[in-house]
Amino acid sequence: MNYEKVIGLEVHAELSTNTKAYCSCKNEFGSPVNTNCCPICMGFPGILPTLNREVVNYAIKAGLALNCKIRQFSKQDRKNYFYPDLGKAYQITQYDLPLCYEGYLDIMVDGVERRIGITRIHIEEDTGKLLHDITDGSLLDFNRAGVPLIEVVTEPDIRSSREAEVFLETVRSILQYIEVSDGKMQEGSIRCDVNVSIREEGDTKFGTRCEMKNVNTFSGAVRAIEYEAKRQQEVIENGGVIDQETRRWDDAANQNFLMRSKENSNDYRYFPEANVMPIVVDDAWIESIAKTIPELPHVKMRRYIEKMDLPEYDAGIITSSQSFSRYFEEVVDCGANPKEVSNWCMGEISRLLKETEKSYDEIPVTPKKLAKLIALIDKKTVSVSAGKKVFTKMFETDEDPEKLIKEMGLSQMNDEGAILAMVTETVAANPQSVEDYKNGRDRALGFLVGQIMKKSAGKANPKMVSDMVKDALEKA
Amino acid sequence: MTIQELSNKLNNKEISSVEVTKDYLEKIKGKDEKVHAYITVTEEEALAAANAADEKLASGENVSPLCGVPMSVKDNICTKSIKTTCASKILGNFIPPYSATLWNKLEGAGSVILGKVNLDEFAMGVSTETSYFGVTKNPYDLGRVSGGSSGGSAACVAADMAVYSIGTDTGGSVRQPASYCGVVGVKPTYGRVSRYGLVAYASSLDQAGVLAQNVGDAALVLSEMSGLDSYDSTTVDYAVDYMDDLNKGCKDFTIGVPKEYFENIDNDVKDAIYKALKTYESLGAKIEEFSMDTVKYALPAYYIIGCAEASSNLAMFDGVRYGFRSEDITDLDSLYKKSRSEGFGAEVKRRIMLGTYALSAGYYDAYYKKALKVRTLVSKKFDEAFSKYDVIITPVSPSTAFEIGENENDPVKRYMADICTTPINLAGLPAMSVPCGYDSKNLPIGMQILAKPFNEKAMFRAGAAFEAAADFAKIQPEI
Amino acid sequence: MKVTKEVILHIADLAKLEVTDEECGKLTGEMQSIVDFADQLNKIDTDQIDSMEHITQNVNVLRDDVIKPSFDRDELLANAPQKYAGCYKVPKIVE
Repeated sequence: MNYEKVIGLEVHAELSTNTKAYCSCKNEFGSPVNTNCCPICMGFPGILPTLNREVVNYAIKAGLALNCKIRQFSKQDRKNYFYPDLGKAYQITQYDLPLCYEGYLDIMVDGVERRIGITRIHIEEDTGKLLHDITDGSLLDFNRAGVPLIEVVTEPDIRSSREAEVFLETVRSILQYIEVSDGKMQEGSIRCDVNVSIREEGDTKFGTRCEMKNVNTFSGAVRAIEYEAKRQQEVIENGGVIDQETRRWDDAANQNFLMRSKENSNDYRYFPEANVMPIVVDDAWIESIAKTIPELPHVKMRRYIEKMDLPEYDAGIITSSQSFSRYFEEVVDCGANPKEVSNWCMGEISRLLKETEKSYDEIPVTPKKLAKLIALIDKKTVSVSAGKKVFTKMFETDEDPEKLIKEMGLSQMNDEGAILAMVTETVAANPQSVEDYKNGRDRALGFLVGQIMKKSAGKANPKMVSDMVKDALEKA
Repeated sequence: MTIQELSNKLNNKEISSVEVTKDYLEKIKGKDEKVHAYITVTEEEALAAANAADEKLASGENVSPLCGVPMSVKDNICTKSIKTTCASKILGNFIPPYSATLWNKLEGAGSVILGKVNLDEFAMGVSTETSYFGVTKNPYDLGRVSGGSSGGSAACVAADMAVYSIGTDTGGSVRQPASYCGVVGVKPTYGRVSRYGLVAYASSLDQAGVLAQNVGDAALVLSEMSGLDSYDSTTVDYAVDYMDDLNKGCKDFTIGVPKEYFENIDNDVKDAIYKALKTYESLGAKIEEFSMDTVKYALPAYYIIGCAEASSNLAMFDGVRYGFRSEDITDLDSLYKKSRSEGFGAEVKRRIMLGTYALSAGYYDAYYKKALKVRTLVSKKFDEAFSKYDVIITPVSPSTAFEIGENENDPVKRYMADICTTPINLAGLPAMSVPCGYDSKNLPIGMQILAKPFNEKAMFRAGAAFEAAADFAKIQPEI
Repeated sequence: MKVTKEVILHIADLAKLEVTDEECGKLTGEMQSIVDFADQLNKIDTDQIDSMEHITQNVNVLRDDVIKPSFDRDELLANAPQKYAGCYKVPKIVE
């Protein structure tokens, strides 16, 4: 029996506004506990929420970037439940009239394009955090309480854990591109709940789905999906029935567990939030936000592949970050060949960023200077390997490449005559190698080239050397 | 002494705020043992404020007429660093780290706070009998209630233990006690006064109001506390435009009298209001009876909406961040259940239960949503009426102050005390209770004057005109 | 609508209130009369009527995204029944 996975995702992304959703406290990760708080986000008696304009702007922007319709009239509602990290004992969210609806995202999964429907995107607020660092209780930090979130809910259109992963990566990079969320998973700014059901291949009816919470990484989402699909298959194959449940994913244990009653028997008693007035969005407002949306990563990626002839993998990595793609494009704009720039991005730049623990928006080499270096290599003023050495230095100091080539004495020797002389001399001095080569040992070529490169302190144009040595060996 | 009178004396240096304040503090010491209007008397704060007020008055700078005037605040309004209990065990020791916007305004104007006054627990009640700290007695008859939920506010003004008091009104809680205690009680249009800092009972119904000795005082205080507040998104930017016209009278007013509001009302009450209507006629106003039958649906709709919103608003009282936490807890669930069950009184628990029920799965449409629709109907009916009438006059409550303990076991009967006042909160209208007589037991009777949204001008004019012309003999409580 | 003991217990659980057996009996009766009272609304036809969720007509009441100083932590925690290391403390929660 072959089963198909049916997956839906609920992605929560923290918006990178200056202040929280309903009060003017700082929206910042990593502050000392309870220092970005006020009576409003802590849920004190008598408080009232006031909605942050940028939250609405960012949500509309996200909706437009994800091809959603923007609702003309939407409102806020209360979701009521008791949990210590929810100060007011209700979360202000949007229940029946979410700000954005009926959208979609086209993703590229291993060369195949898939369209994933987006049911809705709505605004809500985050909860505080429970800390369990002590033995005789739990502690509450409300810094995160009231941080604005958008919740992106997909249609159950996803069919594999790989698709889910790509979807999540694409959404994250889009949100980063449009600068509404920093998408830093390690800081919890993007999380997701995963809904999984299975059905027999070819079946059009949906099976019963289970929701999984506490999925904190995208790779965790992949593992969670695989585990849950398998769990459900085992249940069905043993003659059991899937109950609609909420389960908690435990990544360390690589399994999920049935959650206690909080999630499973809760009646949230949604009703309209009377303290926040409705949001009415007109075309002019939408237009003013649409104008600020840059070329989105998946569109950019397609452009890189089709117009610049970049391989899919490379295009994917470069466009995954707005900073990185911006850098790439700046270097290309200076006249460098896109494929070569791409090689530098995927190679030396990535390596050095990792070594120096810098991020894509901190590349210390001015684009113009990299373009110059690339041109110098093309002109053969310096060899590729010498060029890498120069670049490593540029990564520290951002100096002019031409100046560095001179200082480091790395100018490539392109003088045919001089090289020919060295080739002739070396071939003559190594008759055994000539013999070996004639007997089919191609390594001899490499050995001779190596000798000449050493003699020239690495400066000889390696291709020229190699060609000439080969030539000489053929003639010998 | 009224605010006007006192303000003049203070400005003329005939008397100092410290002297007046000391005088009131003495009165409280003498009378409040019997009346029990105050939960917390803030002697230190009062004297400090009085001193500061005297300095301001001496400096010659422009001061508000409220400067140096001693007053009280209902104990469900947050006053920074002063205990705010909502008359509940669950907030018995709560000291807010911030003040309600309205209190910031009044304090900034130089008000002298004598203390926090009693209410029904979390403003839920019609008699102040549900207060954790005991009932407030009616200064006119200590065996009777002072009304609710702002019973403390009404009693302290009636017994001259404060010049005026700030109360809150969700279903009649300023107007009804004002009526029972023979003082003026005003509830403004919803959105006039910021609710930031008012411990919420029902977010779409609550409004802060004023209890004072006359219409002029009430209008004055209201004008000082009104205004757009960036902390309250439901406030409306509508200028105070009624002070200048206060005494212009109501000649040529057309006054609507909805006949259904006079059904099931005690005869004494009805008679007093009919007499008042005659007074209006003599002033040149036209009286017209009309039909507005939505009154009988307004009360159940009010209770559903009020309790539903309350069930959500009171969920924050969970023993976690402030307030009462039970000793008897073993885990999270017991922390919630024990703290809330031990901390809340019976009426509050009843209303939370009803509200939770009204919002629960399967019942939302039949109760809450239905009530919201009835609300639209009630509001529309008022709109229609106000296209014809400048103001509408009704009784405030079916009876005068009832005995303490009466109807203890019949919640629905008790709710009926609000039948004339709750429709007004549903529609968000401004309304005022003005004393208009006494019953055969010499208990005060109030008349309710209402106007269309933001037309406090017409409401105050009608009230002031009646007050000036009213010829019934005023009875002072003996306390 | 019939209010039963089960309904009372379920609602009490949702509202995090504890109801003893004795209280439950009394509460069932009280709630029933209140529910009957509320059921009066069924007599009105509201099919064509919109629900009134807000009183004032304001829309788009939005706040500028400008940071204001937060409250002092000690001030906020001053009313805490139990606190530790700058946080509120509750019984150990097992998720």
